[in-house]
Amino acid sequence: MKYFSLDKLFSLVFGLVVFWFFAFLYPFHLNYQEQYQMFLFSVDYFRSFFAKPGGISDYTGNFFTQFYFYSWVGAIIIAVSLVLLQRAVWFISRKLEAKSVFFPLSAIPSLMYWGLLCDENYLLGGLIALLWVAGFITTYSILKSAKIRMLFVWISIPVLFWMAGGAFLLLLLFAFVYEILKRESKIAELSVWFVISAILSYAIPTLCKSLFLQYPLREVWIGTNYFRFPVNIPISVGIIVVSVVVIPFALYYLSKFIRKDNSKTLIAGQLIVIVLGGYFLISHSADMSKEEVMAYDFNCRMRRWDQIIAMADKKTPTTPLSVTCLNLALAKEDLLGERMFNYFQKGIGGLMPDFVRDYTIPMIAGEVYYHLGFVNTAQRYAFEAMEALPDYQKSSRAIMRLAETNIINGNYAVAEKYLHLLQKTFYYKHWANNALATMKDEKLIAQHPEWGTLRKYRTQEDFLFSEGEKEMMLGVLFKQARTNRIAFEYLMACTLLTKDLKHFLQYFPLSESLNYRAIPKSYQEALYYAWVTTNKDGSRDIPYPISNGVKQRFQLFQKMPGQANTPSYKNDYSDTYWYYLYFVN
Amino acid sequence: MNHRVKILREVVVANQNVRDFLGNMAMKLLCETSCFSLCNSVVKMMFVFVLYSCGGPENVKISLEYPPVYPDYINVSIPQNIAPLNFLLRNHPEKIQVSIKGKADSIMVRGNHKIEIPQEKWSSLLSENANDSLLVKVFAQVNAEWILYKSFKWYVKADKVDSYLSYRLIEPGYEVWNKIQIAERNVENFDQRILADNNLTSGSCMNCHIHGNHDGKLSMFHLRGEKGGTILNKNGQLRKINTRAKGMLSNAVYGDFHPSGRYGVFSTNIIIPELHANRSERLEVYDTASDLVVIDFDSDKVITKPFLSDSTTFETFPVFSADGKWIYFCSAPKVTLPDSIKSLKYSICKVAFDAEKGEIGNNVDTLWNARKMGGSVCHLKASPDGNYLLYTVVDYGTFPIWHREADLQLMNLKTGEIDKLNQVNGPNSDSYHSWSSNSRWFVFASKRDDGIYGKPYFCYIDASGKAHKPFVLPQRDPEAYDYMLKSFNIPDLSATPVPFDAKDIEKVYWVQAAEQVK
Repeated sequence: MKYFSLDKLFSLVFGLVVFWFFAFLYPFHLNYQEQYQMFLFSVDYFRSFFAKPGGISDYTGNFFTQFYFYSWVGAIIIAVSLVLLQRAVWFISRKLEAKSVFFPLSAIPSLMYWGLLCDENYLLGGLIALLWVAGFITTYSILKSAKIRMLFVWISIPVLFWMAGGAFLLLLLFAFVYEILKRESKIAELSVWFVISAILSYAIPTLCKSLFLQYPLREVWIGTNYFRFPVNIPISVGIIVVSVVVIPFALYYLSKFIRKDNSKTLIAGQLIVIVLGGYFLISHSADMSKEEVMAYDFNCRMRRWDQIIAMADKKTPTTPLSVTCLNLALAKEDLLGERMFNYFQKGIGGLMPDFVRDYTIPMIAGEVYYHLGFVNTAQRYAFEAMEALPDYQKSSRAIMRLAETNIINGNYAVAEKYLHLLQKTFYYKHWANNALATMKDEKLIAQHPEWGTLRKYRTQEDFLFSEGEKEMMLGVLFKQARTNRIAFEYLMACTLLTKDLKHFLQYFPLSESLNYRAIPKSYQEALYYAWVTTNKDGSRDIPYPISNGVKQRFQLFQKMPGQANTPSYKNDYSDTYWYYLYFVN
Repeated sequence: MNHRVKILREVVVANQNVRDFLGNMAMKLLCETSCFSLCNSVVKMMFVFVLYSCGGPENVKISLEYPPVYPDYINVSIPQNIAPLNFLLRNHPEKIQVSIKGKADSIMVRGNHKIEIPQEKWSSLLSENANDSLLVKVFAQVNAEWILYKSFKWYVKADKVDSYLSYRLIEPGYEVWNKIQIAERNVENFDQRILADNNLTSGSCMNCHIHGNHDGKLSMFHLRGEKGGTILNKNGQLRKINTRAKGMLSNAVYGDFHPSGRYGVFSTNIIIPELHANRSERLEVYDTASDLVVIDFDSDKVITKPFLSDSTTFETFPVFSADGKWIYFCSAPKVTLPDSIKSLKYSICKVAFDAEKGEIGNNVDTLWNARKMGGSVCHLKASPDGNYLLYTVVDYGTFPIWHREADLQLMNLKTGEIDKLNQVNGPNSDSYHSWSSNSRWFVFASKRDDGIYGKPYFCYIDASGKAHKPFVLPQRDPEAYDYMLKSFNIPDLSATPVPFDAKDIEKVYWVQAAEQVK
């Protein structure tokens, strides 16, 4: 096989591996990113990005990120972008007369950027900015006349600064080294050109800042939002950005040491380095525990309760946020009382997480409050999560939740405002149109499977929400709507998880209005335990229908001495409330 | 279809009515214009005729209802120096044509579902029609059918409103804030300038910007954060002041300038936010302690009285009277919070202030007794002519922006008479008001449109003290409010622009050391 086709085959394989990774191993990171932006097809939205250096890259990045809603489409976008970057680096290298044997090394910048994209806070706009720069460098390297090349750099400085932010300096850096290597211009000419280019490069951002840009100087120079936190640009970004210029020159110099242009050993050696290095880099960059939480959260957002339970059955979740999603899924499927202790539980933090000033936890915790009927709290959490976004973006998921909660609360004017925004999006337009149609008819809202129910469940009396008194809040909620089974199960779960059997026994009779066919397993376990421990003489029969299985297991549990972590305890009793009561701190 | 039927209730089909309209217009022009301007008028008339003969309204139906304009500019009183009142129609027409007719001249504007009135023509039309009215006729093509709606008027007042309006742009959130900007809008056109931007000041919170004497050369706002302080602008010189002296509850919070510019009166508050669980409520913010202080900006000295820092009463929202001889403030007896939040009711009180000596008087008078009146007062603002006190009344508490029942009231300080401003107040919160320097206009933040997002509304008070129907600050694109996710907080009027911008504030924040009050 000829080398020119080998390098293309390499790019294809590289792209396929990237696609496979994001589509099948890491899809929920893409869904996670999509929800924290809201790309609007509107002139004002474009203007808001265009008004800032690097904003065009951010705008383009956001445009493509909206398609992350379907993670396989996102995987294609990332794969194509990384392959384009690799091809651009290789093209530039070849223009520098790098030997074709070095094609695997041209993947280094793409590989490193892939590593960055494993972190959910690195945004696609950064990669787009790099592609713009690579595109300009490619164009520059095509130009044959030295004078045209120099003119091109001058014209490109303001254009590229506006498109890609401070990364435009790479073009200058590349051009400077390139012209020195080419030696097509006189030293004096080159010096004058370089000085003018350097002055332009310094003056344009500085003037923009002093004349009309209301951004901190640092942000003006960096421009594009590579990272969700604009004040912190990790050094790794700088290294990758510079590598786009360094790699072609490095390959050019390496080529000088190679006589043969078809050394199979060298290609194989490079491929091994790239594959092993890539594996090391990606395996260390990917955070599969976050991916798991994101998977739980995405399924929660999409109301795929059965999938959440199926995930937990395969591997029990251990982080508070994934346990939160699981508990909600169990409650939605009427299984919380029955099966909650089949899975890992650790206190109330995995049931109703406390408010934290960030954009992830309130979004997940808000799901719980929403489905419980704490509509105002769910609204607050969605609002706060969106406000906490450090890159000042709007969140499509939060806007949807704000629209929903306002519809449930009957605040149609403000709901309409949010829905009109969603009508300008690609994926949420249809949903917004339906919501607007539903909103016009009170009967349709009442019949809506979710909004109608939550409208019945939400609090009718006003009180100040107290996060520290969740049990009391749940009690008030259930008292106002005795058919709100989720509120009851959360109330009971609260008492069980806090090991407050006194209140458990006090609230248990409230279950009458819910017409349980049988007492859920964990309630039976708690009831039986409470009964046995308070009626030690055994003179009276327990007044609840406890199954014989539960009674027998408890007797065995009581007789079994040992430590909580011994295999027998774990295997036989870790799915019981008694195990939680005794051994989980 | 139903919507159309509703709109066209009692509709009369009038095939000739556009021609009649043009005929009347031509007659008026011929009758009302002098020979000197006759030529000009005929040209304009011919233009209008051509406009209509080139695909203009035909077979027009006449509706006896007002057009569904947004913002609601139907029959409002406007100052002669306001920006064009661009509007849109909410019934999604394909085309609209609007004629705005004064006593001599008129403007014709066309659009799809919204119009943008040309600035220059608008300004001259307003000045020509000061203390008169403009007649607005709206034609709309809805479902391929032209409708002429009932005409409405814009009453142009010769009394100008102060040209500059500052406000804080912020998302109406709970505890977490994102981007906050203080902006200054020239209300005569659509120019807006950013005075402070928290993106330039490490994301710190900034409170609202207020002017002294309605003059851009005297203003202040609190910039929070590690390097923050109260930013005082005096003739463009910016000072950063740490307003928390030893023994004070907090930094300065709500405040006002003395007419001399030397003093500022402030409350110091321990502020607690809590979330309402009920659908119609949102956030409750209350003080668990609050006191009053006067700060002498010349000496950086804090002046107070023991009864103004009494732990048994809360004092807040202080302002100086127009002559600077009194401090008006809100006061409430302490209650157990949050349990008794609904019993927390603030009265309006006043205490004397001697600017010469820099002394607060000893006797407190009550002007509005919460116990008797059955409400709670917030945000006092004395009119510059000394005649009125404008304030917000809520059922309870001290944070009206999330109280739907929050309404403005106007007290005549000479007679004690109270106007409940029924013509002015909307169904949601109306609060955070500011007077124009001529005391003929005031601006206030109203959430009447959707209950969440506050917008600045202007209201005219005529010589007899009667308030007129308010109108919202015009925007170049009337749809701007629909898509904006910001609230306009604490709109404050000034006759002149402030002499600083966001970059100056950035410098003060990062470089300038804060002065410490004693």
